Amino acid sequence: MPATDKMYRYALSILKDPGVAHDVVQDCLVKIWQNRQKLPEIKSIDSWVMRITRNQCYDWVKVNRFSLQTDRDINRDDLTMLEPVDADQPVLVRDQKNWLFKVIESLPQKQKEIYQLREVEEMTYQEIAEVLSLSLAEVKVTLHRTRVKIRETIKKIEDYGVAN
Amino acid sequence: MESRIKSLLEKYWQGETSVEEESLIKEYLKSNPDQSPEGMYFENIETKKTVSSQKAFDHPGRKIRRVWLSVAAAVLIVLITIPFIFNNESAPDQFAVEDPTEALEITRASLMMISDGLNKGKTYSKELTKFSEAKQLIKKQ
Repeated sequence: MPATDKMYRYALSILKDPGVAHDVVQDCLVKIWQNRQKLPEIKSIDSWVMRITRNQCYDWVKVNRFSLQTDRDINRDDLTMLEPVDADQPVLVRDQKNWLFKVIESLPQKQKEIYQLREVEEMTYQEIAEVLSLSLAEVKVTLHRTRVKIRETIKKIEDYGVAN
Repeated sequence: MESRIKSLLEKYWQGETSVEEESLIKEYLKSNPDQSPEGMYFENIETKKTVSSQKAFDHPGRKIRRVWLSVAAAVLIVLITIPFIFNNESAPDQFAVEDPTEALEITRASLMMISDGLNKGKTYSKELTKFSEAKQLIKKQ
């Protein structure tokens, strides 16, 4: 099921833990199955499914009193878990990659989610707005800000070789 | 083509590209990878796209791991408590007496103590019967 991959990636981007993301996606699949009679009325299945995933993730966060914005997010061990490190790469390139990755990980939660839905899942502004319950304009502005921030980092890396 | 991608990239960073235009950029950079930070950024997106749930679904998940954890905890508790239970049963009695003659002495002494106590009680009961006889007499009169 290709949608499970999408859901899993989105859950993982929020929760950062493969085991938890896996459990949450399974709960989502149960929920989708329970609401299957609603399916014909739904306009965009993709955003409906992602919305369920998002709600389920935040429910999990609430129940487990799990903090999304902790040092864990930018922890090196977690980075290596999500991003396989190629030992053959030159150190500088590896550092630059890590830096880019760190910048994305340290984005505010809303920006990070919009980044995930737009860049990785290639959803339209309308779909993203439905998933996050935001206005279209808000999604556009947030995405613009996110890209500006990322571009600044890229510029710094280009100019100085490092970003900090 | 390259100039078109360049202008598309400019539009991209302004946040003005459509999903189709963005996938055009991504496709182009995928077939023409470069080591510039910008190239790395798009490469990073491509690696993120390949993350599949399959690996996570092969792995048992947290709930099952938690069950195993509680099973392990239960086994550990049993293993720790068993030696204590058995130790208590086989522990030698501090006051055990091995020598039979000594044991006889001790038994005799304790029996004497008991009979002493009983004899004391007997004198009290004699007094009590006297008292109750007197009471009966008074009642009759």
